[in-house]
Amino acid sequence: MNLMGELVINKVRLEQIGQTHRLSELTETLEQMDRVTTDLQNIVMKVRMVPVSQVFNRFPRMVRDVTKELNKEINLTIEGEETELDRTVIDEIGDPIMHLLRNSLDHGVEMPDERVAKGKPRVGEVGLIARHEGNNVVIMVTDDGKGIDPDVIRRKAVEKGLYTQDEVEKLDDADAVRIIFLPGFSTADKISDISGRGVGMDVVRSKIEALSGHVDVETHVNEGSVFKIKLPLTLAIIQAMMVRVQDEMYAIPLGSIDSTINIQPEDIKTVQNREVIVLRGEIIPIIRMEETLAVPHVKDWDEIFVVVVHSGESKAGLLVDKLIGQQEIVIKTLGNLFMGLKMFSGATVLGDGRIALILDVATMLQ
Amino acid sequence: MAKEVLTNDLGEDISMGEGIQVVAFKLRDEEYGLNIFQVQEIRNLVDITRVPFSASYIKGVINLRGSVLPVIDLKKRLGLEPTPYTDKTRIVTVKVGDLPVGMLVDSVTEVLTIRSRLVDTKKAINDKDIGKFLSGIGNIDGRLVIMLNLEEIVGLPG
Repeated sequence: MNLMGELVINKVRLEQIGQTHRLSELTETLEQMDRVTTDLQNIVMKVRMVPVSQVFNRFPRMVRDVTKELNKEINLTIEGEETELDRTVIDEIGDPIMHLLRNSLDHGVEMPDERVAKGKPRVGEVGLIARHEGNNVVIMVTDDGKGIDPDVIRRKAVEKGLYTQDEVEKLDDADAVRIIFLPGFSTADKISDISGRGVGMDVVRSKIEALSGHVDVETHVNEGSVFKIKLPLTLAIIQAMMVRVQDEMYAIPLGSIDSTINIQPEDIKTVQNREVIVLRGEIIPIIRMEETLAVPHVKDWDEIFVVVVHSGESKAGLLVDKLIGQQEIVIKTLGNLFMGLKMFSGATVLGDGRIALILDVATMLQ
Repeated sequence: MAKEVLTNDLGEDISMGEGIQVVAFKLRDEEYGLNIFQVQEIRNLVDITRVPFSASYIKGVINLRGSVLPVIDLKKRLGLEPTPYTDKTRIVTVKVGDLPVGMLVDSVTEVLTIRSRLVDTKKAINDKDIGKFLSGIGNIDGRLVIMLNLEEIVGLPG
């Protein structure tokens, strides 16, 4: 895979040489080579793809065993086990899913009698669903159990000193439930064999985020919970838009970009002192990259470009000085020294051998 | 285990002095050293990409044969005044544990063998903040080479 990455970097480097020296013969040959490397890359990717059934297969037995141990009655449904994921991801994803499943079995689904008393079917339903969503694979762990009560979470968060009373009251229910992903939070009052092994949901989250994924939860009291893991289809090579901010280059993953526009300074309006632009009737807050990233100011640019990005529901326009263009980039990790740095999801080597950082749009929008 | 007898070029026994080989380099007018076993390579200055929000002593990252290498501004880390880059500026790559790191230095002078015992820096330098970055001072006939404590300099989080 690293070799594939080197090949792509070198190809881009040759393309740039062809462009700067205007060598039409070289450019033509490169176009052909481009087709070959793209095919080769697709093949390499395909070889690395493994169906999630490899991981999912071990769960039915586990669910049966755990159900028996807990004296519950639970039916496990698996969907989309043919969905494929990168081999490196598959190896890492087993433990987090196992953890979520155990949580659903232990804390989610109620005892059979309790379920009957609530007017629910005696047998609880737990689902494990995988499917494609754009450039991502989504894995969901669902249950029709008691759900997570946001008020309980609020109370526990205050008890454990993670938040103050004022802070939790300001959180809406969805955000309150997300507290379970914070380190140092575990709701089960008693530690059971099944899920309380000192490994909290924060570990699930950090593991998923280490794979450049994202985990979220949706829950309704007495109706059940859905844990949703979103993973990128491939980790190593992505399409990105290269932008320039003063003398620095950054890569923005194409998957998070809605559109790019060229605006005039007077197009920037303010709403309650926050700068926004109006794009096709939609009001989009803007982020001045030069200020946010504290880029040294070298000169004034004539034009302003806005890259409209999205993450989940939120949108923002990133103000940059120049759009360089779209290209394939090979993602490299920044390494341990930058462990706490959430703003960048990695770095990439450019055609000229320099390094550009890859923006983590989700963090940027927070 | 038989004790190995260290000799210098002239065949003289130097084992008494526990000779260590040191890559010596300059930061401003002072000479610093790193144990040669910790040094991977010495590279010419290349474009360093700044990493926003990182520690102030981290100059940025460079491309080292396709992987990302963090570069530490040693002068800044040791509280020395900055100097402009020259054609002698070098990046000394070292390995701290499993982590490769580059160190920006003004110039690399030579590989030295320090035979005398290192001077304890705690006695020589009172400043605790800077003192922890040093592991001793080698004295070669009056030429002082300050040895660095890489683990502290890199300061891995957590």
